[in-house]
Amino acid sequence: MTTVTERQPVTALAERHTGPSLRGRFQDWLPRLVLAPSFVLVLVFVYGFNLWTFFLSFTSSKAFPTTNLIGFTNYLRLWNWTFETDPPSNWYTALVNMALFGGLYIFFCLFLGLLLAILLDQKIRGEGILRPIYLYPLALSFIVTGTAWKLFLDPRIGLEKAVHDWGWTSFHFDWVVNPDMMIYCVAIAGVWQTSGFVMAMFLAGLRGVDGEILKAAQIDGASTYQTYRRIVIPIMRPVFFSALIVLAHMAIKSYDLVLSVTGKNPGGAAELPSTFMYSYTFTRNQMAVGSTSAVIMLMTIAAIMVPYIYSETREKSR
Amino acid sequence: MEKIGGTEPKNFDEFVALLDKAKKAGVIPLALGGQPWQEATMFDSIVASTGGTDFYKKAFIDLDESALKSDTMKKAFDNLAKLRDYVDPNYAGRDWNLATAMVIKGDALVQVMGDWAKGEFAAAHKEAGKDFLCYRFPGTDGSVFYNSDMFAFFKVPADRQAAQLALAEVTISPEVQSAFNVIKGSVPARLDVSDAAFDMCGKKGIADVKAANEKGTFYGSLAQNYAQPPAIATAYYDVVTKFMHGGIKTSDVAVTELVKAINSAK
Repeated sequence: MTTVTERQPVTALAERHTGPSLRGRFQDWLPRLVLAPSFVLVLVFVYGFNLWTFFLSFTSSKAFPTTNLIGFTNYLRLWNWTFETDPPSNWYTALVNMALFGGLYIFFCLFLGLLLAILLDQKIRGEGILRPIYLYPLALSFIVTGTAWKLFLDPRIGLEKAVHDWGWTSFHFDWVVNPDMMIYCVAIAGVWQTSGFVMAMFLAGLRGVDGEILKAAQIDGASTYQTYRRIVIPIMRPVFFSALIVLAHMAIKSYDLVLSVTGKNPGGAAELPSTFMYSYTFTRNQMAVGSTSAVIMLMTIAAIMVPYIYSETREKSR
Repeated sequence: MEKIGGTEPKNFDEFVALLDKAKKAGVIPLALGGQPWQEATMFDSIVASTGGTDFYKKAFIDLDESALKSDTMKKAFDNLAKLRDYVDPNYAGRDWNLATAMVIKGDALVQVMGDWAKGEFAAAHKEAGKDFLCYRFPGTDGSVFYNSDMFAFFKVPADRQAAQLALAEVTISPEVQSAFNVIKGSVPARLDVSDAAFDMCGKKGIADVKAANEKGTFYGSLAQNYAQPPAIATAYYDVVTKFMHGGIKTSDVAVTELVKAINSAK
């Protein structure tokens, strides 16, 4: 009996020694090592500088950052500007345009993208050619798209003149020079550019729908419209989610598109928060006001996105 | 100009009469690019024409609030609205060189622009005095509003400073100043450059700058960021461009907004 009890500690010791091997530990740590540099970069350059912008919004920085803290003065200024409607302050115009442009851009991109994807999914013959054609606009930069659409929509040399030359002389389409309608032209150019990309995302999602479910629906007698509306589209909620995130961030970021379509924003009518922030920080030498507008933009987007992301990811794990 | 029997206008009312003549002749009277800086450049001259150069100095360089709020400023905005009647409907967002092209091609009669526009005429092989005329904005003869091209040098170690000095010397030398400005259309930065190589417009420009400098009417242009820091200049742009495009509807509101904008940008 003494020998048995004596042997056990030796085996236990031997097991502990060869447990998590060096190789296994390295394999555990390898992903973390590879991701570490990008993690550090994102931490510093995105979140670190977000904090720096947040700090700047409490200072009185003009052309260069200072550390002279002035409390909530900048936030109060922007708050007052939000309610200046006649004549509209730049910030008020920016907020209204963001709602109009963002809403129209996201809605029409999703709608057109989904429509095109569903139509292309019907196993038509020219799919291999049509798909890249719809996707090509995304390869253009926003400046090129904006300038091309500006020239196309220009009443004197573009669409209106062409229709006049074809004979319909009372046709009017001067939206791009009309301060009230300029932002819709920006939305048109943006939707043209990005709906191909959304179409590609949805097409991939559609192709991923399980064929068995579709067959079951067919057996149950569902029409094509009903199949799509009640089965396929709900299955594609994750794709909607990704497309919405991509479109929302592209809508917020669009700066060059606005300026190139409207020709440097005459009359301040096509102001967006991105152009507002850029001009106040860099062109007008009012860095503190620009930083404040950036922080407010971030908080607004977060207020909408965070609950959405939370609800989507929570349901997935359920 | 000959086609409509017009003469060079000496003040703002004659200018409007000339534009009327052009409208009747079927030509676009005023070629304007509807971008904030172009509208503000034109408005600089309108203010000086309406209230005189001293008014311009008081309002835009000294930022005297009583001048900014005055009826003269209101009248300047009214004059801007008058000029707005003479532009074609598609002027919003147009680039400045496209507006110059309209005048070069004969589609429009007049453009109010800085003297760099002459470079466009030269590139199109048009001759000053024959194919086009140039004069100071009606009512502002005798004063000049300026902007300037600049080189910025970084602080470098002593061994590279010689190269910087060499570049500066070459740029400011009379020969280079004359050669460059003949092509570009502007006036040399030094007063002792001979005007022999310049065409009629260039000669007039050089003479104007000399005269204005002696009289003390040589001022920085607010629209070109030479009279005030960018915060104030861009606040000025905002008000002018909103007024032009209908965001601000009356001159009274425009004047109030101008004072408000400049005060909040100080």
